[in-house]
Amino acid sequence: MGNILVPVLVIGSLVTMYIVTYMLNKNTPIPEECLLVVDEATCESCHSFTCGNKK
Amino acid sequence: MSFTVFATAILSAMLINNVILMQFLGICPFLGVSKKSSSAVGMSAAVLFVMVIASAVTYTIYDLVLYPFDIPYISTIAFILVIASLVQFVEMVIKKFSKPLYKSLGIYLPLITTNCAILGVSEGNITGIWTETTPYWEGLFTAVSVSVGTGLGFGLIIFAFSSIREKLDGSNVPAAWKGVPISLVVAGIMSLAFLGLAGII
Repeated sequence: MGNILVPVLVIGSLVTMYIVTYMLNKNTPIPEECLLVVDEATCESCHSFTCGNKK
Repeated sequence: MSFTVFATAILSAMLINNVILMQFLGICPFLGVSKKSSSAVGMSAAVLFVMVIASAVTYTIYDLVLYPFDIPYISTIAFILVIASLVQFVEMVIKKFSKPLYKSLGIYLPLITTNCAILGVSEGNITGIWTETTPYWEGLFTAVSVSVGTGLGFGLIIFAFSSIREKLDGSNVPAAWKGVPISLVVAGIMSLAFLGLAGII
């Protein structure tokens, strides 16, 4: 039981850490002067910066 | 810990064991974000930034948590989660405290979560540097040196490749070879050229 518990706890804590940092990042507003940069960078259809359709 | 170790690790990771041309990691941004030199520089800076922090954090987690608790087999999934969290955290901090830095790196940061070069360096540090007997600080110093070299090597190649691609856009390439095919031929020639550096150190 102990052999399973430790990795489950470690992975669980890392997943929790990811969710917390994701939520914190999502709730942090993008600076106004950077909004244009983000809009220009992403493709309108797939929202990926690497997509070359918009360029 | 010395300058020689630092310089050797950087040169070796940058030129001889290059992450893109020799290890074939990070090919996605290599082909995807190399259309313009400015994008390539931004992506390289973001990769270098995250790679150094990720290497230090993953090495520490392996040395202080995974190995002592006898669970090194979850290192890959643990490192993926650590890198993903780290990218979110770094993006949030930059967004909050450094608007100029966010303006130059911000759009590239989310892409780094899926950059296998970061995970490859973290795993490479464990398999290549970490041993039971290596003192923590010494191993950490070498891991960070290697990650700096790898990040610089990534930047060097992606910038050189983007410059060549910009030139290729204006050159007379046969229709069937335009775009990705000629880029892959260039990548192959670059890889062969870098093979010539093997054996320097």
